[in-house]
Amino acid sequence: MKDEKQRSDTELLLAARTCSEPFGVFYEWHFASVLAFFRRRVPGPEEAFDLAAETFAAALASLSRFEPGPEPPQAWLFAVARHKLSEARRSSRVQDEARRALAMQPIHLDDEAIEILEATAQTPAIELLATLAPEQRNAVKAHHLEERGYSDIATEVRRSESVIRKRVSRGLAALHAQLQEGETS
Amino acid sequence: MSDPVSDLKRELLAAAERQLEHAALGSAGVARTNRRRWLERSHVQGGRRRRLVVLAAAALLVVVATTSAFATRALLVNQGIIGLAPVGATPSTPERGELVLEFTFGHTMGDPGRFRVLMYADGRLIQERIGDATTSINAELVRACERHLDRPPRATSHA
Repeated sequence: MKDEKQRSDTELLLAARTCSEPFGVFYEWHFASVLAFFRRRVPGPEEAFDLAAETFAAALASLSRFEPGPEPPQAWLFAVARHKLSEARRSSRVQDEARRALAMQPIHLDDEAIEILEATAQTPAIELLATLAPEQRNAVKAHHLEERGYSDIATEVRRSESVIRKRVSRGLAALHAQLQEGETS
Repeated sequence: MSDPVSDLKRELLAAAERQLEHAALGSAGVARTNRRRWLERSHVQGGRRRRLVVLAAAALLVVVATTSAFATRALLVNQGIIGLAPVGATPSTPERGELVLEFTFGHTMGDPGRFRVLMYADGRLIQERIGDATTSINAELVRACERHLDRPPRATSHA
């Protein structure tokens, strides 16, 4: 499954050299994870969105330099993202050279847009929930999304509170590991 | 409804289109530049070739002019009738006649076999060996010779 996805990413980036649409598909597949990457590292959703936009603009501008290799295209994209993040931290502001070079118009964010961004930034983690074992997924979902207490959940599933705590803890650790893998692979 | 994710995608796609157009124009520009450079190179090569031709022509002109100058000098100054008329030779008469044909024959400047022929209306044909009398090897063997078209040839002291 991962190999197929990786091959598809590579095909999209190579096809994007001669046609604009494949890059749109690549953007749709990876925007949420890139936005989530930044959202966990910068204080506000506006900065996270600007960094994500700058990352995709820089990726678009450097499509001709993309070379398929053993590393998945996602690693190339996150390398660009990390570079943009370090640039922003060094200069204390989000750079916009790539967007300016591509003559991209700035996107103004209102409250509604920020809500969408915040929800989108959570999407990768929610999608990853499906990869957890059912008891871990249910425990994490009940405690963190439904904001129920450990004792309440334990009563419902007829397990001890310590068992529920362990399930939540292991589920979060697995999610964290998968997120780290996605960003570093 | 404002959707920044869709807005950004739209901006990226538009930028991708512009980038592709720019790349296409860039390729065409490179082709034009290459063609122009090829033409410029051709012009340079043509100019170089033209310069070589001009130089060769100039060199040839110098050689020809020098050769012609030497030839003219040799013909006008150094050259004349080689040898003397034999002792007792009868001067050609009349001293002045109507010249109807004159020509000079020779292969090269150093050709010892060059001669000039003068033909007069009364039938006299004066043949002269011409060249540099001081350097001609067979100078002593050569002389002016008068013939009559209706008589056997005889040596003459034609002036």
